[in-house]
Amino acid sequence: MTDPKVPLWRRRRPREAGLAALFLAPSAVIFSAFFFYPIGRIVYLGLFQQNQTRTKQRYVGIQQYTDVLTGRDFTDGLAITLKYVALTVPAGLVLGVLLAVAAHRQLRGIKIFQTIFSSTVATSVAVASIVWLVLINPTVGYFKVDWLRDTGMALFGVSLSSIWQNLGLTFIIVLAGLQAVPEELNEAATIDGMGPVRRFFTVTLPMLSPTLLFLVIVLTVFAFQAFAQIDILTEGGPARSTETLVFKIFRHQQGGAVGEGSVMAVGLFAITFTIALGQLMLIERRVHYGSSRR
Amino acid sequence: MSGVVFETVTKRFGDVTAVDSLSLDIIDQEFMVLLGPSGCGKSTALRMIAGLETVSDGSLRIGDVLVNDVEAKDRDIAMVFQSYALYPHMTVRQNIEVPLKTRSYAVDGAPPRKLHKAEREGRVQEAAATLGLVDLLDRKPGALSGGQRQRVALARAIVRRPEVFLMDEPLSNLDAKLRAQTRVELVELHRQLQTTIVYVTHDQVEAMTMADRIAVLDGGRLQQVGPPQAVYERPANLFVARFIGSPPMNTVSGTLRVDQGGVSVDIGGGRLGATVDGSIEDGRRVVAGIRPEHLSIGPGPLHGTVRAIEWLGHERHVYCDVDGSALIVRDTESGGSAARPGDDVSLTASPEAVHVFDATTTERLN
Repeated sequence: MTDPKVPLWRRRRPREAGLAALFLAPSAVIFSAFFFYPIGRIVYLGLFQQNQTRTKQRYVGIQQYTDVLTGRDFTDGLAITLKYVALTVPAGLVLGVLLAVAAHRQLRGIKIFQTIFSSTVATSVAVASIVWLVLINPTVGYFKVDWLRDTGMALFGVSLSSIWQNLGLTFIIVLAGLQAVPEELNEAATIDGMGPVRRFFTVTLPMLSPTLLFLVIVLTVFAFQAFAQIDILTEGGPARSTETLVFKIFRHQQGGAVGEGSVMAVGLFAITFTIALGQLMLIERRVHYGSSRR
Repeated sequence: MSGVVFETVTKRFGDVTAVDSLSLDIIDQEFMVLLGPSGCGKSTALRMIAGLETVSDGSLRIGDVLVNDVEAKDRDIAMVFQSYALYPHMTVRQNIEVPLKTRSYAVDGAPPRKLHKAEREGRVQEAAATLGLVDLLDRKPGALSGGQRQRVALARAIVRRPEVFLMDEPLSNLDAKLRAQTRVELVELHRQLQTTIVYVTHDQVEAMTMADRIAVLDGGRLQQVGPPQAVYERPANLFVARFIGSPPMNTVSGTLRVDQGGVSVDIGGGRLGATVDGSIEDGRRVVAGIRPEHLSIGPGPLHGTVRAIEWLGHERHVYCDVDGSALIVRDTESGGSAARPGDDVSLTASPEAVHVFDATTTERLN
């Protein structure tokens, strides 16, 4: 009988509202402690400047926000982050789709390949980074290149590691997406006169688009959050050429510039929040394929 | 337009033989129904025509062309799937247009070429008009009812003007009323298109009402081919006899007796007169089959108890327990007997209505 559109506090039966509040309480507590409070705290910290030892702080107000968010450090960090997204997301997606298409067939022993392709999911970022650190080592590496110490190539080097590490997840999700495409659709397309390539672009890819959209979101968020691989492979260098926003925030906090770091964190939060919102709206708008009745 | 010819076609999946040495001549412009229970090989046979399954053995021809090694996309056939298999991301118009975009067509006897946009649109409109879809052209399949989707699938098939239409249980996802209506529409469509249709179903009513000829399959083997009436009236073996007809044919085991009094089947409690041509030896183990409408309550050789009566308005089904087996009598309400559940009754049938099958080979003897 309860109309879900009526807000909790306007419901007539107080017992119901109380019960609802009770059910909501655990997540409200957790979210408050680990999410809302830290956000509020960071926004607050952004209004202050600290001394090196963090023993004193003085109020500098909103001016610090304007200074930092328009400052060179922040815009550089944002540019590097976006470049990192551009390097990792499309390449990771294309490779994942290629692998999944290759492994999506009924062949003897295909499960072995599917396991191998998805194995990077079980690899930690640290391990993946070490593997690539060795692989692209200029003296003992498999690829004897000095990318990580080259300002022009360092970010690409880090991207390789990330693409490889995320490939397992991309592969699994795309494979699941492929398996959800009804076989009869492919058969109908064959009978309608399509060859394998045309079938892929006319039928398979559109059917995969919800999956791919989801992956774009996840991989973009991963790229924005990337930290460990940068810390292990380049430590932000050389010459800060791999300092993404997250890394810069970390560096500021380490260096005692908590206020500046906090402003950057708020800036990053605003950006990712906007992206997430935009992607959410995109998902809401898109047509749901293959609903309950096919 | 052309027919389809199976010549001792076999399809094996590993150790399983799905279609076993099938020989079947589907005539040009014929409405052929492949009928059988699930797993009988009918869908596999259809998918071989479509090119979705390869032929393990034998030869398959569409028209005069041996198609064993012709790829599905190069065969001139169209298919309607049980799930309709519409492209969910395309509008109805785009769905119908797909085969026009991918294939080449001969226009006015000229060599095949790709159609122009205007030609495609013309054909889409024509197909949509035939199936009453004109107002739905800009919708996506998700916004259509089951019946509408089914018609889109049909439109996508007819827009091609193919040599052969293949239909794999296209009505099974529709409700009973719509199914009955669509049956009639499909028959009309067939008359209009004058094209060969191969139609797979497990529903004998669909087979009986729509087919020019029915091919009954069981266990991958062809049991009988013929017009619906012939298959119903003279089933070639016990399987066909029991599979076709609703309620199903009654069957009673017995021994064939040939003496001065003529031919009869000794069923223990009495003798059931039968007509058998040719010379058949006395004493053979047989199964007598009688359709429910040919069995009537009255003095006769079968004795049992009425177990239940189903009243269907235009007729009644009287279930009788005869020596442990249930026999069904179908009688029309007006001329029916007044038997009640629990009554002891005798059942009888005229000799011409008794089908006689060999108990071992299950083949028809009369």
